[in-house]
Amino acid sequence: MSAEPITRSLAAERQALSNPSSFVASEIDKLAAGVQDETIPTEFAHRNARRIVEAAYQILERKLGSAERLPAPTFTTDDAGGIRLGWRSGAKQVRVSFGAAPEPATQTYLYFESPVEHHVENLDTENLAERLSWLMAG
Amino acid sequence: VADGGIEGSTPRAFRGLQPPDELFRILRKKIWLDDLHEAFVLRPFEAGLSVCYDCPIDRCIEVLPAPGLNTMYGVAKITVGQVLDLGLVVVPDTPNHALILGISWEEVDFVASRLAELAIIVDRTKRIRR
Repeated sequence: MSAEPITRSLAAERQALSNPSSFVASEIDKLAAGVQDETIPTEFAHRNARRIVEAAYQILERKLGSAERLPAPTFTTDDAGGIRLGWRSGAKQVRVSFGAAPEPATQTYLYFESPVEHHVENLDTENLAERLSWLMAG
Repeated sequence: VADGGIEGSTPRAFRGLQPPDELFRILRKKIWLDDLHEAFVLRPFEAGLSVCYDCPIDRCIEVLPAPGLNTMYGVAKITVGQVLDLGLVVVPDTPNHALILGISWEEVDFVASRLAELAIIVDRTKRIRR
């Protein structure tokens, strides 16, 4: 038995800071290629996650000049073919779930919370960009 | 173990769980140590969140019925009372295993956040099912 600390590689940290959009796309691709402890997501989930997250980051980059202040998300799966990402900043967080298939649609959603509110929304590019902007607003 | 009990222990009837009783959630992904929220997210194929009770931490992996669970990276502890306070229920299904039930699909992440806030990681040891 051995205790193993969680660390993201230095190279990944640098990429997350210098090119956030490329970083999230490559991390989503890694899930699709197979990652320790994770179930390989469906092509639908992979395609959907990459398209929406990358486009949301590009909106943020256009709007703010850069998405580099955005905290790097966690990347994982729902063990049923779906993909999940989570961003945290202070007491705020944004979570997205990309379901394995178009149906049931309830498995694809955006969740956000702060100490004063929480809600589930449709997961599309605009909503995600808006919520990530909200997350960075402090 | 076929009946979900701890190997070598005497079979016994399920006891009623009380609010102070401790529940242990196995952290079966390394990333859950960093992001405890994800450890409490109900999966699409699950009726409830799987937890162990009346079980030494180092033997939790042996009582889980989940097929394919061969590796764990730690354990998070929460009490029955904390779960009940969230409006959820804890239903034992073997002498050492229970399910946290009552999580609606609309509240999967909200509940995961609350459970993650209340839970404490009590073990960070990688263990492999024997």
